Amino acid sequence: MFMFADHKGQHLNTLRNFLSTFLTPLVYIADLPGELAFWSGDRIRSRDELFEENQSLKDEVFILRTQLQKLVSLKAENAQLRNLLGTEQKVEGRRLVAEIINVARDPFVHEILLNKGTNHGVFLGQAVLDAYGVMGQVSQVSMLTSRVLLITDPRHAIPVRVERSGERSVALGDGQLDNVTLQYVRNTADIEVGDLLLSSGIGERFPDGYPVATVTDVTRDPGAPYAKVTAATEAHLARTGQVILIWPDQELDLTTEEPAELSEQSRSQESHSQNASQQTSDNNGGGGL
Amino acid sequence: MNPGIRNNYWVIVLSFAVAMLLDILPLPAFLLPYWPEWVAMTLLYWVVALPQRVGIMTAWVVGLFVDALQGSVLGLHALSLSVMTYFALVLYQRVRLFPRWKQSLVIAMLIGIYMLLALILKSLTVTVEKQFSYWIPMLISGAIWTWIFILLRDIRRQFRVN
Repeated sequence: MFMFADHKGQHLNTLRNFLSTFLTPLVYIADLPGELAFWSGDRIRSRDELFEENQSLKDEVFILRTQLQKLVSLKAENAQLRNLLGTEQKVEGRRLVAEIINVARDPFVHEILLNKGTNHGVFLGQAVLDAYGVMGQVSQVSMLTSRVLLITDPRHAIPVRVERSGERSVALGDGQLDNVTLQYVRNTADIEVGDLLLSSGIGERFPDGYPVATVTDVTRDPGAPYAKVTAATEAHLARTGQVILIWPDQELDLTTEEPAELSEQSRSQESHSQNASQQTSDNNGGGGL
Repeated sequence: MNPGIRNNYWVIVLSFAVAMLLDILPLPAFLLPYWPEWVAMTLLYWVVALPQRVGIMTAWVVGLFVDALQGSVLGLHALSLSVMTYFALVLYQRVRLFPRWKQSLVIAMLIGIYMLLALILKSLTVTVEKQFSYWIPMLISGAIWTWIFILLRDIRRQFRVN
């Protein structure tokens, strides 16, 4: 009874939220040894190593800077084109860096626990990225922590498109870390090993255009209706320690010309309301992905 | 008994907290499949030692906390631990008299029942793969039961929990 109520309905969310919040200190304590190892790894280092790292970081910053120059002009151009077309400009949504404080021990689920919760404005279904690609989405939130379902969990599916050809598909987790499989890919679809899969933004759960995975294997069996495609995730699911929570991009109204004036507060509120509408639309659509 | 000591229930609560802590401790991958079921073992010790205090209701509440910690469906571990505790309550008088190795066997069996139930319930919501490594913690738990037993017994005597 109890389990059914939790699985099918949202009635027990408050109880879960309460229990999770109550147990938060335990999670933090459990994280301490690892944290200590990181800390000592950071502090106890030879001078040469630090020099070397500093140099390589400087080089990386330089390269990224040069790439950024191009981006600025591209952004301006994009805005101009959008103006010409008369469509809304998009303002980048809020971003928040969170740390992974625990990983699910259950071998059958792929979940991680983050150190940000409703107190920081995290909401159910929020997209989570790392530096390399999409990681997953928030599946449970308490006041100070949130649980993230990774894209490799068998319960998870994410709409994707092939960067090269634009073919659309849905990437399902298959229970192996660092691996997803594509569903319903026609045998004739233009998809090859090495293709990059981007999130397609369909379903409005994940933002458009973030790298998800790289195709590693395509098996076309003429007898089977669909090709078998597996892909390796771009995000370093098993190795990263920090992730980024992103809020949906804001549609900017062109009549009010104050994109920078939007305070953090109102932004997060707006994203909340957006999310709420998203949730309801999902429910109408017979359960989103 | 000294009436001023008031049973020291907090020792039981603390032991469960430590067990849960061990349960969610981030581990290196090679240790992961061998990590014993700390919460279930602690629960079994208290059931065998103080069946009049720790029973199915305790098991249920502890299970609920485990569910919240692991993010599983609320009630999954609660139900599994409760059923395990029921069998432990049926068996506790015999378990107390068994020699150590036989105790370990019974404990491993009880934990096996708990893990089997948890697996069945899990398979309703999550895709579960058949693999032998799932059962290794059961064997490990049985193997280290003797030491857990001695440790918790000494703690119980030290703080006069009853």
